[in-house]
Amino acid sequence: MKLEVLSEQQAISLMVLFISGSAVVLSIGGQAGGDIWLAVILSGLLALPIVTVYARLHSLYPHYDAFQIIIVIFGNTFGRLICLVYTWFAFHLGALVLRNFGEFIITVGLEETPQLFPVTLFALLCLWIVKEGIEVLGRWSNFFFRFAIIIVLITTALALPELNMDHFRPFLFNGIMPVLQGTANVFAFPFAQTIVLWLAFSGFQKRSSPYRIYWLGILMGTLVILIITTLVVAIIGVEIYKHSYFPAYIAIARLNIADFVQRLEIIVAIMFIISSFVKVSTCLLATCKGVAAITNFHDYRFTVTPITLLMISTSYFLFDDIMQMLFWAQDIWPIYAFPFQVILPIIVLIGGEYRAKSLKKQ
Amino acid sequence: MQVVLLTTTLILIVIAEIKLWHQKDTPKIIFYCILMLCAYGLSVLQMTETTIFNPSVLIETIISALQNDNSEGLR
Amino acid sequence: MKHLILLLIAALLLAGCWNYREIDNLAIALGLAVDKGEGDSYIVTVEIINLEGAGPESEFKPTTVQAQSDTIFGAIRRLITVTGKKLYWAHAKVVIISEEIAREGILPILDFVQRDAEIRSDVWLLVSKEETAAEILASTPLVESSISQQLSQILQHHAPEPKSIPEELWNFMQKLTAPGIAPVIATVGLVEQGEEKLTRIKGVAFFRRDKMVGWLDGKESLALSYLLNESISGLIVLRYEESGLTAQITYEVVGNKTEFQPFIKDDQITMGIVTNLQVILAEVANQKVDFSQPSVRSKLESDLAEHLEELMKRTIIKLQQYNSDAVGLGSVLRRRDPEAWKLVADDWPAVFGSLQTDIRVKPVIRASALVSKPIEMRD
Repeated sequence: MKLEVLSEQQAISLMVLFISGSAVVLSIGGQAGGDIWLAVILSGLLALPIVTVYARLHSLYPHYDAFQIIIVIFGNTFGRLICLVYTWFAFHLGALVLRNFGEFIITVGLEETPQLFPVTLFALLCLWIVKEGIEVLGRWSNFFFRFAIIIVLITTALALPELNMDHFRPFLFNGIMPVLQGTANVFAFPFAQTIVLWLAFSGFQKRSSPYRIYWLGILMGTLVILIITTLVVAIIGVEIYKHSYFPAYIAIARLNIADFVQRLEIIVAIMFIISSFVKVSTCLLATCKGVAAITNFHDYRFTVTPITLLMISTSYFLFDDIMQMLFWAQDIWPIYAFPFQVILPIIVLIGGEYRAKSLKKQ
Repeated sequence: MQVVLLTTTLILIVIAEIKLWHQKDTPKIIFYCILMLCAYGLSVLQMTETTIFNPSVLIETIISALQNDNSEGLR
Repeated sequence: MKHLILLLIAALLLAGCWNYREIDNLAIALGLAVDKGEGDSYIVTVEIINLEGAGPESEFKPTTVQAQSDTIFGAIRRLITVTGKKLYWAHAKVVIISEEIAREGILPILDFVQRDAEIRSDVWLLVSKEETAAEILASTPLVESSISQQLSQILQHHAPEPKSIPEELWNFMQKLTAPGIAPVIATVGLVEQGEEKLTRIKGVAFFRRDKMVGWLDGKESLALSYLLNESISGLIVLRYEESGLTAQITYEVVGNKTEFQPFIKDDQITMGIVTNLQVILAEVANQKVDFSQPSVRSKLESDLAEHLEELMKRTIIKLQQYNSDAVGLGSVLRRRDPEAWKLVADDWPAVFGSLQTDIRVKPVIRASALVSKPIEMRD
């Protein structure tokens, strides 16, 4: 089967949008308080070695996609087991992001609409793009990446008069511990979630370096998250940031330029929809590829419809309400995701290096 | 009513999709139907608001149990 | 087949929306007034506008409606039995709270306002100085078509004549949740002019947590504005007396910047406060005052400094009596000296009550409007 490839630019756009995903509207890293900017920078730095692991695996086995790599390294039985674990992870993450989207829509706008409706319609679009394949997703992201950048720049420019830097002072008021907690939080969500991208990528165009894609993607993603969290905290302050479900929405709603430019929160909604669309689609793609790899089918496309439907139902089952969702995103996720996002990739890399060496000897 | 609607929609989707493949690949069709049945089952559960299994709660319990073990061990 | 599916999806999408709202089924709420009813209940008064007529001749008419219930939200829902229409809150401008409720704690009200996604958090908060808050909504709007819009206009354009400190809901919430600062809310009262009752916004109510503890009058709230670094203008009228010459001088403040510096000596915190003002001589009532002379100008400056220092001192002492740190000295200390703040943070209202302050005002007369010298009259 033909390997679907992405250009460097497409892959980076995909990655930045994936990272912005639900992180731009949910409140992340609130533990760090006024030092949240430091937590974001630290976790971005912390993510660099982890994505280097993914990139190294890509460059070791340039002709395989992630699930094939795992099966090649660990053999049929054990390899499939790891694939199963990762398939669950991607599926679960997809359902979570879908739920975030649903909660966002019904909280800020359509309170009486059953959540199922916006979620289903959104998921149907994801289904479509995943059926078209990662190349289309890459081109789509490349196109909408510009919108995302313009949105970030415009909001930054408009927010400048509202910023109150006092919210960041004093520096390290509660010592370094809360900052580290915030770092762990931001690292787990969204930076290390890029593992799902590794699962979804199938290959890159010739001469493009996976290292450059991952590093630039993380750096630009850090920049976007940094700008947005800093703006939001500078506008609404730490306490409100911690206690609201969608702080970015609240913060941007404040902007009012001479009664003329106002009610800009729809910009946040657009940004959120663009980026969470990319995130859900990537998760869906990774899940379908995983299912196909486990069951040894060459084409993943025929599994997309049932898996989308499963994801919609699961997203509904995951939480009773938005409060539980926020608790999960902040307190449970970093612990739950750690083995998937850090430990397993390292094991896979060690296995991969060993395998590659023994192949060379032969 | 909702369940009937869901059933017909899903059956229509299944027929439409299998027709779109233009090939008779039996294992593929069987696997597809199994997945569809799972999705159907879960959707019915969702519509009738029966909660059987919540992965979040399970993971939460495991993690809090682990944390308790650790903190006791430290003491 | 593909087209058929697409058509079906399109039909699903285009058929309409779930949360649709037609304008003729909505009553647009402009202002909310909350009073205490009997027992634990609330009386809610809402100013709504109603669309009358259709097409170009349609006009908006404001009216007020009232309902009573144990919770704010309950009372607002009960209003449907009066209006027959659901209220639409996205255009609400003001929330007026009666003194009784403000003294008991306004968090229950803010909770509703903050939680409701439809009310925008930039509504203005006001505390009524009259018996009830509902009275305010019943007064006559002079310029605008509804009283809520009138109030919102007044608050928005308060900067040239800052007799009060307007607070939007989100700002209030921010101060309520931030460490080391207490919130204030502008107060509104009524004045009679002929047969009509007009609103007047003057002074502020200051809070400790969410409970109102006292009032500041117009002058004191001006002093508080300078301490809070609000960007305002403001006129100060003083009497000038020098070697038998007297005159009423009007100073217009065109720039203000207050800086704080905490000093700690023997566990005693002293807050140094320096206010730099840029002033224009807007009106000099006696032509013999020659403000082109340096000595006269420095006298004018020191008069103003003395007056404002005394006013600020008085304001802070008043706040200290009620342990309400509306100036935010605690947050200054937290920023400037985190270690010292940690020691007093738990006990801050009491510490604030006995805090030493050292206030200095440094006015600079920057210009004298268009005239450089007093007009000389000749026969």
